Amino acid sequence: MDNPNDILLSKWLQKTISDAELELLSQEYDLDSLQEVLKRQESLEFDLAPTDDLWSTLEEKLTDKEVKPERIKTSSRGFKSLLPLIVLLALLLSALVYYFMRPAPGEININTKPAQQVQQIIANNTTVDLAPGSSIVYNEDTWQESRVVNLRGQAFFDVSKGDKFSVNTSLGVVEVLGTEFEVWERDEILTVSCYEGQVKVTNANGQSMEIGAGEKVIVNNGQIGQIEKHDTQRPGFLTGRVSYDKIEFSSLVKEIERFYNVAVNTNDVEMTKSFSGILISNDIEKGCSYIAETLDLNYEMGTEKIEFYSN
Amino acid sequence: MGICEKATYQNIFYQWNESLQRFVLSRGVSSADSLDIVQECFLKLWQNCAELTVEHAGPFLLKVARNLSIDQYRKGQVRLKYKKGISTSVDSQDGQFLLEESEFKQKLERTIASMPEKCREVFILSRFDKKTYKEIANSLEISVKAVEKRMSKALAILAKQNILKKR
Repeated sequence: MDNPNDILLSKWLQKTISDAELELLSQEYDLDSLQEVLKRQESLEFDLAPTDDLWSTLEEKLTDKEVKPERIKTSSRGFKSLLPLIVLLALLLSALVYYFMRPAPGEININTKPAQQVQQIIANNTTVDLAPGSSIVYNEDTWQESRVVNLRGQAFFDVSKGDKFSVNTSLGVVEVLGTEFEVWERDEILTVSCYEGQVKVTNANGQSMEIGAGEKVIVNNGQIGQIEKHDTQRPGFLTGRVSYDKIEFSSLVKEIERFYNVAVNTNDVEMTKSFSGILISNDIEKGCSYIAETLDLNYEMGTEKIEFYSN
Repeated sequence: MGICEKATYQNIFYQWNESLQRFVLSRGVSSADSLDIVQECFLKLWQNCAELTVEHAGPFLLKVARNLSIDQYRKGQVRLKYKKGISTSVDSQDGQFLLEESEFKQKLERTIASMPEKCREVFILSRFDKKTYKEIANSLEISVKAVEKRMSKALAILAKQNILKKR
């Protein structure tokens, strides 16, 4: 699906094209006309407003209290959590899960397969959205005494006001109080993003950190990192856009397998290649073409298999 | 020398304001809406100044602009106008010529609007903002090779439209 000729036109424009390539290109395109079009395009412009005027308007706004840098985020805390309405489906699913796997009395164990996502109501309108390839375990019967959810993988928690509980992962504990947050535990890295309220993250050594709405913290190999900002309203896996910042291709491959339920062959691609960008988790074709383009790779898609090749 | 310093911030504004306006307008946003969006982008940059370095300002602004100019603002129309003081060949400024010019402009507007988003972004940054492929690659956080591909695709669309051909 890729050929070396697909950059010939930009080479032509940059005047870095070889004679042979030019010959090839002029068979396909009327380059003189294109040259003329581009020349005439240069006399056209968008309807731009004067920069000085815009700066004056903007400068006034900068002094507003509202937009001061590093303002304390009070606005988002006031929002009352919108309690999800998709209750029926979750109930149905949880009933099924409940029926099929209950090793201990009252113990609820939910696993998602690759490409599968589940929403579960834990208690009092507290819901969990479980990302593909993840699991949660908690006990419904003893919930009032020990409010603990064991999580492996990735999940988004929307906790009703006043509900207090802990999420245990192999890499640390997240304590919550009436809030919305996402937990993501993978390959020695635990990422907790808070969307509303506050959560407390504690690593295996007992060190802890509290984060508020719009903040996230990464626990890497047991070390709690600095608090970072995130500007998303909902976790990526719920909107079909999961974003990554500088992950290695090897980790990205695992994510592709988990979200799309496919096998990935990486052939000659360097596994340490770094990827920053999004995984379009609800559209495999768009997702793969985006990744291939970003990493400058070629790919082929079979029914249950994706092949990546270096370019 | 962070973005929170007013002087640095102002430099970034002057460097990116026009690009950002074109970026938003090329997505078919009306002029009035585009100014709101551009202002919002810069306000967000100010609010997040402590977390961003100068070289991340451009990519950040473009990302915010892209997010803000979705759907509700998009009318699907792209409007261009002739730059002031440009007269091609003076002796041909007759009625026929002006008609051709306005037809050319309309066709180009339509062609730009018809380009896939990614190609259009690169095309505008290259042809209107006069950015180099390297600068475009940095701004969009993609490889130079990807820029070349997208630009070639945009040029191919332009070539196939036969804009100069008389009906």
